[in-house]
Amino acid sequence: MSVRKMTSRAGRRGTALLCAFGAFLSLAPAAAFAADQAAGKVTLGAILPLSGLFSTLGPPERDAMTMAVEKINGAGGFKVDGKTYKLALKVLDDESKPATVGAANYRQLVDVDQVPVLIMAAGTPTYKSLFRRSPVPALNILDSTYPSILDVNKHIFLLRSDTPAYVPGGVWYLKNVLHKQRIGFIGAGADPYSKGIQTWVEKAAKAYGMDIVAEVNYPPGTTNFAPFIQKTMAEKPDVIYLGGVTQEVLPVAKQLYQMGVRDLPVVHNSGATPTQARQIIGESLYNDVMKNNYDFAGTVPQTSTQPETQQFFKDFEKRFDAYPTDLTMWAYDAPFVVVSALQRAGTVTDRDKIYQAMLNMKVPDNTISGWMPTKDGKLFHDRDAQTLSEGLVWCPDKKTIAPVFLYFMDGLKVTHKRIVDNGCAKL
Amino acid sequence: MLLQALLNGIVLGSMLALLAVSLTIVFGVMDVPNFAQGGVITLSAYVMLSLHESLHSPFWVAVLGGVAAAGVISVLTERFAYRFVRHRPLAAPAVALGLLLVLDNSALQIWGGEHVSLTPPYAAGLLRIGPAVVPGVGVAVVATALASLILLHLLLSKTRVGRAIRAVSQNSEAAAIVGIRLERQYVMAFFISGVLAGLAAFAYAPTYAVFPYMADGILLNAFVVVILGGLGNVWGAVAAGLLLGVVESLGAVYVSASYQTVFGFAILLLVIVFRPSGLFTTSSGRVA
Repeated sequence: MSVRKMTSRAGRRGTALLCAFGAFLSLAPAAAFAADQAAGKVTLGAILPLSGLFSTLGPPERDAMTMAVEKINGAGGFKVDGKTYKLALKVLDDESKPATVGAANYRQLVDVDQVPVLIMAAGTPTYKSLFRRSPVPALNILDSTYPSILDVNKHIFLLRSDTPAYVPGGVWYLKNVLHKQRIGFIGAGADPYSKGIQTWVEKAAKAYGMDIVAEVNYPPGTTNFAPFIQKTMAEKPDVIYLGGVTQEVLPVAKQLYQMGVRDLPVVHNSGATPTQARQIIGESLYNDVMKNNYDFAGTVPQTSTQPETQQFFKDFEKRFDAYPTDLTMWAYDAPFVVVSALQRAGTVTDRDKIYQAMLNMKVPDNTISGWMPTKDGKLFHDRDAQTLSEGLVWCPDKKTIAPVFLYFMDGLKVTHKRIVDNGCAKL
Repeated sequence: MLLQALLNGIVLGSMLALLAVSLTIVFGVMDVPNFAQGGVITLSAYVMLSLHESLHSPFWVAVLGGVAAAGVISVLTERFAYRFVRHRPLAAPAVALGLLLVLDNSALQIWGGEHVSLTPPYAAGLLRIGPAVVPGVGVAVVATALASLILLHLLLSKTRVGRAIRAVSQNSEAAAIVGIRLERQYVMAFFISGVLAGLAAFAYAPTYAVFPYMADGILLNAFVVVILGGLGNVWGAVAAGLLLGVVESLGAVYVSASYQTVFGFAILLLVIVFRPSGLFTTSSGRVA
């Protein structure tokens, strides 16, 4: 046999092997997915910031979802179209870099793992092209940035109230209860959440007759806030408003205190917990720094009157040695919302049917966040599920937070309000 | 307002000077841009944190432990990475960046990504100078930088080790001929640089928080200072650090706070164009 014939035969064999291997690789995920369905398992995929700038947010959400998944599976799973399934949670860390790491996570969960519903957190606008290419019903449990993420893609649902639902209430409280007039705003310039807060503080201040005497935004990566604090204080505000998430807000609050700004109210919308305050500010300093802190966001489990919510608070705190926030309640509810949607759709694979089911679903059983349904009983108001908002103050004697204000907004109008006096004493 | 801006600038400049000097030592001796210094600072801060928070060591014992750890880690970077590219200068920056990634991600794997505070006993302290204030942690930055630089000056000018390091940086071949053991001086330079990084960690960590990438941003500014001051020029780095800190602080207050870092890079551009050797280059060699 000639060398040419031998190499040609070897080449054809090699090509055939390569083709077979390629076919195996492309079919393997689908095969694994099919095996999962046959075994009665549905994978709930989640992209969360477990590290990086937003790392105060991801881990508690993951922990809360884990509790919910364990509860669902512990009760024997759930039935869809007569078949029983259990939930498996697959959480990928976007490292607070949605454009790079998050995008890779999206492709993994949506294209490779074929999850029926995706749970998401921060950086939603960066996924726009991915949603267009590979649409999937998505439940966002964090991103309340303004302009709304619901404009990014029709498949995105927001399982929390967004920025206009809670920021104006805080400004109303400053004007009408604390009787403040001059706001000094310090924000995180590159963070869309901070920019959205700034927009709504401006709108609310104008509507309620307050003045914004200083507005400074620090660039990303800033660790020394002294020039920004100095610029703000030069305008003699009587309240400081901080824009951004917990990991942005608390270091600024700390440096405000360290620069001698200790008597002004410091207001934000970060949902910071006592655990996070102790961790980020420091054991010996956090109680003094947090005095005069007001935080306006969603309702927290500690202050709920619902027994199941209070039980969640106790269970979470005991298991994870951390204070559960509004975010953890929404994250806990997310698996129940997904299960309810799958059951309503009658399928665990057809994403279009699941999407339609989510548009029309009612508030599921076993949820704890206190969702306020639409007039016809649906969970989502134009793809946004809403709760009451709550203002919290720091209680130095007990080193924790207590409610001062419960409210619901209709635009810039406070349609429901309850001022809580002596919230700290009632703990 | 001017006094406050100047004081803020001196605090920032002191921090930059301390970092820049630690980079200059290594660059002067080995021509290596030690990007991994950011990782050394991070790991040093985490050691201090672990000793103080987890093992409940007294704060100053934790600081000593962290500084010592920084020296050791810095030497290890030389022994296991930099020494292999000593005669390949084009490879050194890549190795340095790779080391930075390794060190930062090691911190991430060991301690997680959350920001944690390292709180010294003087964290709530305040120094009032007229209408201006300097936080206690800011005073610590200036004091640490001053003490470190004085000790470094004494080390380099009055001790045999210091003279040997200076000799190697000026002319390594001639230093070898007169009997100075080059390997030993490289290790010593990295150890001293590491100790300075540890001191920088002690000064810097309490001003913000400890997290895996905590020093990457400020290290960039420190490299600007190294270039401004003249590569390998210790006192040039000190002067340039203070200059950069004050310029950034004044620019933030009187022009725009949002563009604070732009002012430093603007000066860098001007210096590179009109005086590429740096503002304070001497003709008599480096680490002087």
